[in-house]
Amino acid sequence: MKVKDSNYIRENKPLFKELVSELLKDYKYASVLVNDSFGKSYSVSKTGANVGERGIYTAKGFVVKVYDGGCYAEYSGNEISETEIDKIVKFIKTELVSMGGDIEKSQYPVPTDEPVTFQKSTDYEIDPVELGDEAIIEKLTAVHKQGMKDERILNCGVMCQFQKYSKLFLSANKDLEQNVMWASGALFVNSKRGDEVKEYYTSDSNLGGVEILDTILSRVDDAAHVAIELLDSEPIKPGVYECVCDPATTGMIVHEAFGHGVEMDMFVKDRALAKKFVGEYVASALVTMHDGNAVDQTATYFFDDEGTVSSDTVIIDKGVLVSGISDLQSAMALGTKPTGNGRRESYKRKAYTRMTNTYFEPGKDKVEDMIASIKDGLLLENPESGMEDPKNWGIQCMVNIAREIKDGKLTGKIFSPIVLTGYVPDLLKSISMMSDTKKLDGAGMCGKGYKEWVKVSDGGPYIKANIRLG
Amino acid sequence: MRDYAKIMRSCGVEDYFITETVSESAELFFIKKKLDMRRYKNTAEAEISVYKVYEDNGAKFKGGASVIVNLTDTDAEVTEKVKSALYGAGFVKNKYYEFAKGVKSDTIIMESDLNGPSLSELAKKFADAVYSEDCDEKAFINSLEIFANEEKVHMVSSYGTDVSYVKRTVEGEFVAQCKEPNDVETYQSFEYDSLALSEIKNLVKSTLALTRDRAEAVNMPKAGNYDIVLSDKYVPEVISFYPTRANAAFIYPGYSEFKVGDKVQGENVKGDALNIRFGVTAPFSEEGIPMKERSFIENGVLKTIHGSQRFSYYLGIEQIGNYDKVILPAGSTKFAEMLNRPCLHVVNFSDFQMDSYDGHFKGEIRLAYLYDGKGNVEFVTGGSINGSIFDSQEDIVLSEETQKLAQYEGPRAILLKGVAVAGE
Repeated sequence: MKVKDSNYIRENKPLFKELVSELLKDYKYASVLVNDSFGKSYSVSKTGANVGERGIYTAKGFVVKVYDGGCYAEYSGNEISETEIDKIVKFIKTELVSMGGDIEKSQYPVPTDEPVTFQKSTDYEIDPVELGDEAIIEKLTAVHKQGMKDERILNCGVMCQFQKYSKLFLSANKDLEQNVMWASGALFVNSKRGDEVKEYYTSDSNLGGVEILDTILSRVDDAAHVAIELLDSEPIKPGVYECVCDPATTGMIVHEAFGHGVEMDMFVKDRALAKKFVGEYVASALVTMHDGNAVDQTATYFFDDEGTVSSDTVIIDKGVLVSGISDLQSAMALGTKPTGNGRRESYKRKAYTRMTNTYFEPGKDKVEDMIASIKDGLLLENPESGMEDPKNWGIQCMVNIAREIKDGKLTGKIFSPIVLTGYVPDLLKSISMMSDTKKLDGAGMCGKGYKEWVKVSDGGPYIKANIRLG
Repeated sequence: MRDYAKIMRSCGVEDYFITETVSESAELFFIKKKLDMRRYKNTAEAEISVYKVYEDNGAKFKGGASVIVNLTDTDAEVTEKVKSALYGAGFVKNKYYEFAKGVKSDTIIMESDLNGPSLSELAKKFADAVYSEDCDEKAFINSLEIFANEEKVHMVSSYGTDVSYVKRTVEGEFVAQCKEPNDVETYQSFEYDSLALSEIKNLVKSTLALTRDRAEAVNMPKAGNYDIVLSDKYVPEVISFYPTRANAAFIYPGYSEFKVGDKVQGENVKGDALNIRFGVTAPFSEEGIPMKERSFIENGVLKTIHGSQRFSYYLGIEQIGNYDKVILPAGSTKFAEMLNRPCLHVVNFSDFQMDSYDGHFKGEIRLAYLYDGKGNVEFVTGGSINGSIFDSQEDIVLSEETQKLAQYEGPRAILLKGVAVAGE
């Protein structure tokens, strides 16, 4: 089934066309991005249930962009009518473009604005709205109860989210419409001993409907088992270890440690070390890294929030850094082609260069061979969070679990929590084995610094590398 | 305001809570000293929560669900959404609870010297203040984002709430860079509810200075246990353990066993005993409850549990709302004295987090000053700290010097003893 278009966009499209036309009388470039999104979150835990829309997923409004002959300015609003068009145009002309007064402005060219017109929709199997609140809450409640069976479990939280969004982009030469739906599910299981509470988290996601839900919910027994295992975890002795990372941890390294560093708005600001390494080896020859629409995941779309058609960008090709990813304005500043990575948290926010679906291609190894190859090391699982350092390629990633490997076998001993540190190219160049399948997860969101949250997915295969842990 | 009561009656909704928010912001984005983007936002939305009381097998439940609408949506569109929320609320099987009686008030305009100028003018004033300090020989402002915000919030409920307030803030972030001898940067964020031009200038000045120092740092600290000194924004992050653990939503499911009267800092406090008050960042909580300054912890003993209406009702305590600001008195030790011992003063992490579940505070070090207690100091970078508040809390030392942030007023520095550091 294809995701349907939006009534709001269909009914108001003539008004938005008129708005752009009016602005083009005064400005060399004008565009509008219209968003109509609807998303819902469901959760069931020991404390009860929640169901509702979240502001970050449900929003209806637009952002207008104009070029004043050198620089750009934007107006975000959510009221459109014939009268409002006059008000918006007047505000832009009299107030917006004069903001900042006499401060010197950046100088950009006019975007090429090549003619493109299409309307596209993604597919889904089970529409969450048709499945209904009752059926979804029933499923989550059953899994919650299953997860609470062991008395050492303090809480088992079960979550499901989806978003169905429609976007319209209009400029002098572009008329683009897209209708997209993604869904995700997650389990949080807490165990407790004394004052310490341990948590294990697992999730899954897809481009589509809530057909993903059963996959994630089937993991509840395993999740409860690991949460109990964590009660016996110990702090790790700091040092450099030979590690195997699970696909989720690989994804965190791909995204946090390297991906943020190739966002080319950071190149424009001279904030990314990667700018100096284009064409050079930054990783083992086993590594090929992508960002974009070559996979169906939560960040797959047809055009970005600046009207650039999405693409598949190869960032690292067999160990060599070949390209960054960019939004439209950064590409203009750098004289490169935009890659379709200009994304906004919502119509209320500015567009930045952002990742979409970011991952390493798989290799040829079997996971059991990778573990067997380690004499004294660790299997890292269950990433918690990470923070980028594009300037210096420093790694800060937190993982929940490090499983001890001795003489090629897992001993059953667990260390937790774990902080990964070090220099990104050192880690990537040390990759010596990669498993033969990849897995991406897009249940989480990504911030730029501490704000601007957008849906992303990341992942890859199991990798073997040397990593400093603390 | 829309006639929500009429819509609710037409949908058969008896219990509801509505928050209308009209937001405006003037936003300036800079790269180096040049203005790279100007933005203005003007939006109006409402979040509507509806509740349904029902019985199942003799037990009473109260389900809830929420929807988001634009203030320009038609009544028919809002009615359709309310009906869908009411349907969903019927499957949310939450133990019955009651809301405290709502309050009414005239619109409160939060007193601030931010009131008066236009938002665009405020954004410009802060930009000028930042760049007035951008005159260091080596370090400079790489980029800056400023958001001058105004929120008009109006809350109404079926149980008597009808309150509104107007609040202005200025927030943003900047990155300082130093190219020699090593090319490094420091990220800094800020949020003020006053025309804090001297504060932002000081923040710029100190951030440029630490960025210059980081450019000199090469070595990683040696692995081992250290007395750690944290300062500025990292102090409230450590302290956040206590209000999180004292939240009804944390206590009810058993993540925390805090009870009023507990010695939450431990049985044998040898360092500074914690004295914390809850502060106010808005006149009403997000559930329309009037907020006021309250005692939270006195001499390490818990005095108040805060939280949402629902979880507070479950615990049988007064429904006082969620507090997000803490106020502490000055500590016992001069900041300089704290550093007169072998210790690691971490001034910049890539990210620093307090995990209130397991009590661990951790982060990767971007710049730290390693003091040997004999007057020597070395700049170090890299490695990480990983400590436990349970191991450190009885021995904490707080500085005499204080700081004032949007959600924290109190000591500028904290000393935590015997914390594990991963390094060379």
